[in-house]
Amino acid sequence: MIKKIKKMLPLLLILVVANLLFKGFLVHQYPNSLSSEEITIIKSLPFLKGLNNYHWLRLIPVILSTLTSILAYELAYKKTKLKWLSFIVGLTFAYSPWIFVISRYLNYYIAVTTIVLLISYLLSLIRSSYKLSFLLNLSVLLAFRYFCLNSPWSYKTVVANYGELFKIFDLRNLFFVGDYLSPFIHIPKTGFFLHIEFIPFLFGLVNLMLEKNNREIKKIILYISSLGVIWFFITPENLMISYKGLLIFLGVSLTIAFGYWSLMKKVPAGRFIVLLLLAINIFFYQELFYFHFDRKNSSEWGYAEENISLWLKDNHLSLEHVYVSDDAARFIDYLPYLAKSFDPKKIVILKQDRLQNNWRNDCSGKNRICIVRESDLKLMGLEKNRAKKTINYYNGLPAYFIINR
Amino acid sequence: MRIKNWLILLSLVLIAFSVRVVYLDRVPIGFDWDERSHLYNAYSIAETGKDEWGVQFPLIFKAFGDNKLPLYTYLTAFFVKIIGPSLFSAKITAVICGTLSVLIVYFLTQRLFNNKKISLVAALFMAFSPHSLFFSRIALEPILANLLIISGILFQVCFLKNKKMVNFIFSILFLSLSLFTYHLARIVAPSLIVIFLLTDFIVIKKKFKNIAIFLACFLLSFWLIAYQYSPESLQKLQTAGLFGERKGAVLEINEFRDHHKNNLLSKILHNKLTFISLTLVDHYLSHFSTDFLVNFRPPEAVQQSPFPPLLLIMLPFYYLGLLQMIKEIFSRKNNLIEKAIRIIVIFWVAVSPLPSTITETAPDSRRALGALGSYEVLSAYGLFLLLSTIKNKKRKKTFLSGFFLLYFISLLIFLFNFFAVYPKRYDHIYAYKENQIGSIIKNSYQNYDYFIYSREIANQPQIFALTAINYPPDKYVRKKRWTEKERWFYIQSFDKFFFPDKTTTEVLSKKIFNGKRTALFVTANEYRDIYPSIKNKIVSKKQYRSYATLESGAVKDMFYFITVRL
Repeated sequence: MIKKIKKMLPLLLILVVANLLFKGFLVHQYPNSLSSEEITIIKSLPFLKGLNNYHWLRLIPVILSTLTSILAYELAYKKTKLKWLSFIVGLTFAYSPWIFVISRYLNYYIAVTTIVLLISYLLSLIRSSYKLSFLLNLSVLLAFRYFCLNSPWSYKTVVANYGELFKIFDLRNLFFVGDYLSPFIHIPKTGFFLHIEFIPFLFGLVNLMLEKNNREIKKIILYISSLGVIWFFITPENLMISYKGLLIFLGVSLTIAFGYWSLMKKVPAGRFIVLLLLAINIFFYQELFYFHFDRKNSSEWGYAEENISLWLKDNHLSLEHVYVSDDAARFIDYLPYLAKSFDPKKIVILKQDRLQNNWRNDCSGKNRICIVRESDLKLMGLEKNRAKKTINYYNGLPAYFIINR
Repeated sequence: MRIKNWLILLSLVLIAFSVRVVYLDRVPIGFDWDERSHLYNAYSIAETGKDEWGVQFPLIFKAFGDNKLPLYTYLTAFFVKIIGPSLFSAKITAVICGTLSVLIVYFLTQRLFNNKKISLVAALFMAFSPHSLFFSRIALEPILANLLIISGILFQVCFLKNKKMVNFIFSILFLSLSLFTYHLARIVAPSLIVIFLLTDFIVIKKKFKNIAIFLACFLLSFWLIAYQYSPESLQKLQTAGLFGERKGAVLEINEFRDHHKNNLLSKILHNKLTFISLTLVDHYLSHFSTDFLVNFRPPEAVQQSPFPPLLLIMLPFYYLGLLQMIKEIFSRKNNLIEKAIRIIVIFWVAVSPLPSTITETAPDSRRALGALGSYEVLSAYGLFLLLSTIKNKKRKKTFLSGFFLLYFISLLIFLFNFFAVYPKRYDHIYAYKENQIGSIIKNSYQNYDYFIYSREIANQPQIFALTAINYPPDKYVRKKRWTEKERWFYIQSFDKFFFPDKTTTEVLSKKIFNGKRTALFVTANEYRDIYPSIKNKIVSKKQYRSYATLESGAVKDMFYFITVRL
């Protein structure tokens, strides 16, 4: 046992370090603001409100994701007894763009991934069959779907999802485009996996189909992918592809890892080139994440909402009433977390017709302001330069206008 | 047995012709700019031997300034001469090409696998191929290009099998002809000619006669290829390709560099080499991906098939056939000829997406049409490969029945969508307004002194009037007034027709229209602008609405037909 641990420990340590380095590096700054999803989670889990820093909050998904990588490594090793294949599996779970990005902000879905792998691993320890593991995971997924996703399920969901399934398996979306429906966690010019990984993916797939051995890895991939397809179909139609495809991506990751392993085994001389290409590709997408992600997706994240909350926090004493247009109400969710001193009772939501007809009264006076969007200004017949203050998105475009006549 | 096969093949060809010709005027709904341009130029050639610009038997038709390749127009001219200018005479060339491709696919599969069952199944797949059906029903060149390309491949495979030089000559001839059909052939055909010449050089007996023919074909084909790459033809790449300075990739590079204040790192990472290479690989792979192969894609532009090349049930067999074909190239069981044949097939599959890959709209069903035929051949092969692994006869039968049951269900769903749903849902894309205007002009040409409609309402407005009344081509050459902007021609007027950039009060106040009974076709915006000045002069007004509606129930497209006495 000790011998076995000694054998596994160095690789395990490398995996932990790689995971923490990839996913935890500057996690409090990138993404540079809280998403509305994070705010919703903080609201629903009160104990998180005590944590005043992103850093601590965002360490939760980083840790869960690191655990996912380790569990994938352990599960692959348990089933295949192939140390290097398992290590590559763990490694792909550390750097792949799809898991990298969902590990950097609070969300429930990284926990779903971890739970599925944890159940699979624990049951593999007692040498349980895939069937039991499958059934148990299925019930967990169904329970999560039923209790956590507030959207009715019908056969129409399946029909609507059917075309999407072919889109998710599309090489273009997997390796070049990524989440084609939502820019929220889309790293610019990056797919769910690295660009060059379509080669090991295809190589792995062909090898899995043509070679008669490797039965265990085939079984794991089939098992995870089947769960993935079911999860894809039971989740609501409008859920982000990155979430709907979570478990499918696990299966694809395993195939890619197998592809790398087969490539290195069959073409040992090519190892250096593979590693070099991999390093270049990782550097390329990391640069895209750290320098371009926030700018490209700035309206999807809460940069402007955070700034307006902080402005209200600084000015709350001088304000009696804050009139907010319907369209501009998104920042209100941020107030309890970022501007605790601000009294939410001061906020009055303005419906479109009141805004149009009564804004001159609502927005005038010493202790009153209106917070509106660009579309509201048109309704009010106001030019942008009439705003007392403009709060911008990270990319410099205007998000909120503070009006006081 | 032999007669039975021929009868099945004949029935397939007849069915293929029927499904391509039935409701030709209704599906796709409409007759677009380019189709009408082909028709009018064919009519002009048939009547005068000159195109709409007065050029005698041109090798490139200037048309709207888009430089159309000539073969389709000349073939259409033949039918126009026999049956007169009409929608049918414009489309019948495509219908025949699509039907003939069923036969070619049969013979190609037969030469490849020497198995009549596989060949018949491939022919069946081709007869009902969604892409073949779609492109056989529009009067455009891609289906002709495809027919010539697959014919070239068929004769090449025949040549490799029986070494008869006549097959080689036909093969090169068909591919060379395809260069005069559509821009996709300009990439696919030269690439295929190169690989044919390379494989053939190894195979042919090095006799003087053979080498002479070989060299003659080589020189002829390369002269034609060089001829094709004139500045005029390369213009197409500028408009459709992704390499121009104003294209998405370059704009994206500038944006990303701007994030970095254009520093060295950004120049190293964000440049044309990295971005365009990534885009090219991404575009190329998309042609082999599930989304393109089996998903319905709401059409964003006319002439793009909303239907995928494969019916869903064929997908696994296509991949299996493709994989097996690649594997057989490396198999020791096959001799050199068999390997060469497989290399040719794989090369065909590999180069066909290239014309679409270099465009911004990839995967583009029209530009990737060179691959049509390979889907069917490989799917049929994949199906029989899997079937061959089943030893038990009863299971074999069950498997085959199950497959064909699912195939015919998929087919019925596709045909229902193709003939019943698609025409109404997407009529707004298919030159809806322009076709309505064409019909009105056709029925009431004599009742008006003038017809006015702008480029706001109709792209290339003149072509709808020309083809509606079959305006005499020699008269058109003399009477039209036009301008040229960035190589595109803008017709301003001919005969009773005026085509301003926008119909405004100023346009309508011209003296020439005073007191004349004039037909106006205007958009809602144009109508709102001109209404104050014409409200007392309106004789009648009618609104035309597209079938297609938004989710809110509002129509997607509409226009007003107003009769005024100005």
